[in-house]
Amino acid sequence: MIWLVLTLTLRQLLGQRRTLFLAAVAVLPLVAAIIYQASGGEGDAGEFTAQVVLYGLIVTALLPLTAVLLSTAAIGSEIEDGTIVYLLSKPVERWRILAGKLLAAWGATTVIVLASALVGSVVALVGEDDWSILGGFLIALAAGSLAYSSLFVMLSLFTSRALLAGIAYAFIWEGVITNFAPGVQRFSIREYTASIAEAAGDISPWVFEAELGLTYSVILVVVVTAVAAGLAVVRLARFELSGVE
Amino acid sequence: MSAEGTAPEAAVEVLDVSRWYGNVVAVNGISFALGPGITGLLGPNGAGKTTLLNMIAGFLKPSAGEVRVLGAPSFGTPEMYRRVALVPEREATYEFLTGYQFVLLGARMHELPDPEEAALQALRMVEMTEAADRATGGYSKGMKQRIKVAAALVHDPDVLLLDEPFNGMDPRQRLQMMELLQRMAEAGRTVLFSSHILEEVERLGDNVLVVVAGRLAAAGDFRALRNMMTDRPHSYTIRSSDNRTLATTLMAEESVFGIELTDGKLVVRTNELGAFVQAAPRAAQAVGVSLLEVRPEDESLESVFEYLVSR
Repeated sequence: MIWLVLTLTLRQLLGQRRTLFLAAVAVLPLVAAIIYQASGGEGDAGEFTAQVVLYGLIVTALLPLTAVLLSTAAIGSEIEDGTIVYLLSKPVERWRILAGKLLAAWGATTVIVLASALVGSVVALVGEDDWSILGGFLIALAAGSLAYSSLFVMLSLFTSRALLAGIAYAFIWEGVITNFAPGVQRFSIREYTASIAEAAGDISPWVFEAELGLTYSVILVVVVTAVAAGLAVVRLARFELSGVE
Repeated sequence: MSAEGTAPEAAVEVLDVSRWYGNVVAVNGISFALGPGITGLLGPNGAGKTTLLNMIAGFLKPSAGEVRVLGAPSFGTPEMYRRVALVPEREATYEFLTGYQFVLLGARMHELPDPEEAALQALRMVEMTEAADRATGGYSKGMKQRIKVAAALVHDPDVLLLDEPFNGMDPRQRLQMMELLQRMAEAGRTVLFSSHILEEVERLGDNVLVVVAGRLAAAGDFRALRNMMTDRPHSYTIRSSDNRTLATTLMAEESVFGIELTDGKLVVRTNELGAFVQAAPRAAQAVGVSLLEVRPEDESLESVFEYLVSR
């Protein structure tokens, strides 16, 4: 049943314009790497890959953007056009429907983000041996996209403005406010992702240093994912078709 | 069907149900119970039909009262859908799926033993086998309606709820769908469909629920309802060569209970439609007045509904 909802959702996502837009945005890290190489590859290639390609472009921009666009579409667009009725008018436990939706959003986000990270890094790191940087980031991006997907899928069940709310969270809260208010990094999926990347990739502190520890970040990714998914299931079980006819 | 209370065998029980959105009351204190057979839910647009159907289908929680389907509360009971199906009013389907895939999706979600055969069977019932391999996104409105009905029938439900099922269908498709629903009702299913078109309900629904402005305005046999509507007061606008003389003569007719003379026309109120239609030309002829125009004033469905509510 989960597989049925998952494949249906992936086909829905594939046909959307926002997916095409994301595919175009996902090329930007590769473009940055090509420009870096074309300009002679000055400076440390590992540092450039970690700070510009992987953190600067992917962790802070592509990851949350992809997650918010795909996760809010995964269930939000079905609520909007009314097709959600065809899933919910079935004798299927609501957690299974939610699991299918979440796995589709997470899977699609991960594929786009990892492909972008892999291709951009390979081009930037040609001739270098700093591959552990990449390994750490790939694990971290998969973990970060799970937490983001769960959060944004949940948001789309609570508000029809989930896209706006998600963008505000990712780019105002995580992008701006956490920089000025020390301590609130604890409430930022971006920080969990960076911290996991740093620890899992064995990256030198002078190349890249995150604020939070590995254990703490992994626990928070699990907690955010579980709480958001749990709230989403509860909401789906009490789902109402909105509006007066 | 009974308008009040519950019969023990009722498949659908609506008990003093209201639903409001903020300050807007969409459904207001409605009660009825339905057993096997076909029932038309009639009312003008915005009367609360969709809200009522959505509550029965478990997609809206009543603000007050209770909706029970097959003995259990309809809201928050996914298990109910093993025996209940809803055909929503909205047109949207998964446009990238073919008709067959769309119906098959439903069969698989119901975990039917032979989903492929069940899907084909449902497609045959709505005569959609020929178009089954085309993407539903390219379907006409009538085809979308039929594929939605096929998806709802795939698990052979005991209770079938349809929201404006005839929208967009051509007359032949409409007739075919009506026959299908009638067959389901004859086989002991409970079929409830909504419509804002009197003729659709007249042709299908022996039993009728009339909803106006969120209230149950009438319930029961369609023929009784038809009589009530025929006997209601009608207004006619008449223009003639001598309105004043005609008014004096018409006032003597028993079928007339009020006349207003304004702006070069007469507005005549009658409570016996048949008698008045015969009496008016006769009376005019008797006093040598020519009738230039005789036009019913309030024949819109809305006015029929308004009358039923005001009773």
